[in-house]
Amino acid sequence: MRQKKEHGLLTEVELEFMTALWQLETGSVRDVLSNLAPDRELAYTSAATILRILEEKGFVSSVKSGKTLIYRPRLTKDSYQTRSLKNLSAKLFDNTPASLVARLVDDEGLSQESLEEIRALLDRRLRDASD
Amino acid sequence: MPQINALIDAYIDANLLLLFAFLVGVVARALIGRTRLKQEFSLQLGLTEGLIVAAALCPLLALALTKANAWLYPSYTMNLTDIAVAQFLDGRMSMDAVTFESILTARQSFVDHLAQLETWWAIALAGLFAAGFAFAVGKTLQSVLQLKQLIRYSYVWRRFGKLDIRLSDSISVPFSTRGLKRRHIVLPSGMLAEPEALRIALAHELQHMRRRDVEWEMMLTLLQPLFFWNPAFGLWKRSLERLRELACDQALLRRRRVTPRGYADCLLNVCRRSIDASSSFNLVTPRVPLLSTHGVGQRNFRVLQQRISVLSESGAAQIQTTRSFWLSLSMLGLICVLAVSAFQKRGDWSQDRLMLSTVVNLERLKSRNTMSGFVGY
Repeated sequence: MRQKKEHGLLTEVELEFMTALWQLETGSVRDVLSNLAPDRELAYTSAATILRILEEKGFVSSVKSGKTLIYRPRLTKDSYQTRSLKNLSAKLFDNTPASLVARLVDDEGLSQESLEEIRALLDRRLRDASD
Repeated sequence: MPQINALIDAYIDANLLLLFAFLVGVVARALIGRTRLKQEFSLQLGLTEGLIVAAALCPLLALALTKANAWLYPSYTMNLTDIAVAQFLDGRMSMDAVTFESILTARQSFVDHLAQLETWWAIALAGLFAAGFAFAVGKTLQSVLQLKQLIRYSYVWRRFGKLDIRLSDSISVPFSTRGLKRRHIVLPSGMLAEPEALRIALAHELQHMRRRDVEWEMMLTLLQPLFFWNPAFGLWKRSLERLRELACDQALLRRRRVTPRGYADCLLNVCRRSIDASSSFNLVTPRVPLLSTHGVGQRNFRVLQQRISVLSESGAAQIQTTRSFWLSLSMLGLICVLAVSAFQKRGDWSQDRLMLSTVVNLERLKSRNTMSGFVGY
């Protein structure tokens, strides 16, 4: 399938589809549809179109199995999370990840446990970098 | 040089005609507003479009009438100038002949100055026009290129003959447009998840396609750089855009394709999304959007308000179109007759014009003689 251009981020509906596909690992249109939130009423043709667009954007690939197309993510969830954060950092935090983290830890809703987890992650990363 | 004079002359005529036709349209709509046809937006749209066609055809009609007149009655011409000269010679205007003639030839003198570019004001005016024209052309080209780019990076959803229905991540408001060969309806890709909104938006844009609104928009976009300074053009275009949307809403409701409530919800949702997505494409032309989000916010709000209120009154019965047809036709006839007589070019000089010229020459001679101290017998 011809790809139009490098698409950075997913739209809201596309993210729902990708989340379903990340859970399924591979699946047909019907599989993805049944894995969406119950209140998401979507026609089969619309779901097929969204998956086709995701394929054109390079987020998924498909193989034919009989008359059915089976889709598989081409990007892991972790890779997409990194891409998404980089985009957020560039667009909203002037390309300074420190501001992004500062804003995150400033959040009063963050529990003591989460803060400890963040500290542990940072310590581990710093140790790895110094080795 | 005569070609430049003729070009400037034709351009001034076109602008005056535009202004005149616009005023006819305003009066016609004001009259319609007092009748039961007030809510007949298709008729009002047809009338506005008819006036544009009539204005475009007027120069040709004027030329044909002048030629026919010169051929049928070589010694008789009737235009506004000749009527004014006859009134002056009959003594119904109290001013001296030199002033009267300078008023009559003011336009010609203005055109001559502009063509020759010898005075500072003519140079400044020509410069301003050239700058404005170049800016307007640049802006239109930029819009066209952006639109082309948007279409290129959108995804084809469905294809019917020469029509493509496309999905795009870069827009929040559905719209229709066309290229040289294909017509496009572009919908926000997120709309796929809202079947009812998708159905309404599609029905709305297909109605625009059916009415050839996209072609009208294209034509006005092409003309915009020429009339960028003429307020009548801008007002006319805006009024056409408003009527187009109202007529489209009304047609869909009358065909019972959508419910007023569902339609109003769809418009409000699209409006809300367009406000949220401030970074998305906001092209001005050449496209026909579901909802205008460009320009002055208050004006767009008023149009949306009117559309919602019209949706709630959609139960009103449709008035027979025969009456609408005759009304439109009579308005078109009126503008044609008035404009043709007003813009009919002067033929050869009439007896009255020769008489006026003689009077002017005599007055000038008298004034010169007075200044040189010559006293005649």
